[in-house]
Amino acid sequence: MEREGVRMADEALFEFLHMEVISYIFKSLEKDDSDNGKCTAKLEGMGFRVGQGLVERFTRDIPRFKDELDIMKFVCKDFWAGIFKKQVDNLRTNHQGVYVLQDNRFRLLTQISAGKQYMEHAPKFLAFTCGLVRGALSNLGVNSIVTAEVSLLPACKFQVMMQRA
Amino acid sequence: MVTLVCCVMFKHIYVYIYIYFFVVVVEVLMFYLSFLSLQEFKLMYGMLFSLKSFIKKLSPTDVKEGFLSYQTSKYKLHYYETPTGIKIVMNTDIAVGNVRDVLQRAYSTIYVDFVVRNPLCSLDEPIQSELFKQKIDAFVRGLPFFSARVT
Repeated sequence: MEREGVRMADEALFEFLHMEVISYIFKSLEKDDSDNGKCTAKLEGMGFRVGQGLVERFTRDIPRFKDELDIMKFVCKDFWAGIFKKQVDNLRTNHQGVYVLQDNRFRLLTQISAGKQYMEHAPKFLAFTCGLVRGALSNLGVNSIVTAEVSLLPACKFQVMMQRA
Repeated sequence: MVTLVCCVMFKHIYVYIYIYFFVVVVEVLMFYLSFLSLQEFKLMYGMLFSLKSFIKKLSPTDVKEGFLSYQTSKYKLHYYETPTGIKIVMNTDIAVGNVRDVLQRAYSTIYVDFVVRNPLCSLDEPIQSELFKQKIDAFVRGLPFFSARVT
């Protein structure tokens, strides 16, 4: 769906929709005086369902994965590229079920700031993506917990912790 | 010395961001950041609005672009308005020619990218984004008729 040098409208559509979803959820839950936790949980849940569906579509023609590391590499390369038009910049693991995905120019954060400004709002924009990763992994047979942290926009890190049954 | 003011204004009169003051005299330029008072801003908006409608009435043919710029003995003010009502104003030295495409580029590559697509920038409030300020600063400094030499 992407041509060189042409900016397709579908990118902008997802961006704006994502922005509105976040602001809608935060505004509607503000009236109940509940804390941020509920809002991010809702966003993460939405991302989960979307991630499940997306990974079904992306793995249509791909053979089974050999192991967890293979799955994580797929997430970092094809999955990320399919959604954000770029790959994850760095993948680290401790080989015991914890993986850290680092994206130095996260697509949803590049327009916001190039440093420390708006830092406190950044986690809101990562919740949906955490859910995306969790949903994708769950449909590939891996239970996990995904969290995100950001220290300097637009770079951010997603931490995936595999849950063994 | 000629003062160059670059400011971006919105549909609503009480909204504005900040003002760059540049000094451009063909080869000489000095730059500092300053804030216009609300009163001055209202005056400026009123002046531009009246100029625009005045020129529209005066034009012998159907107005396509309308008011582009005006020139005094000291400076030249360039004006660009988008279909959505965003107004971009830039003051330069009188030697500078038509900058309509420059202003349009400023709108489409900087304003749209870093303000409209920024979820934390509300479209009817003054722009607080540091990234936007950085980008527009770099953009203006990169213009061919911008010169950083100070006398």
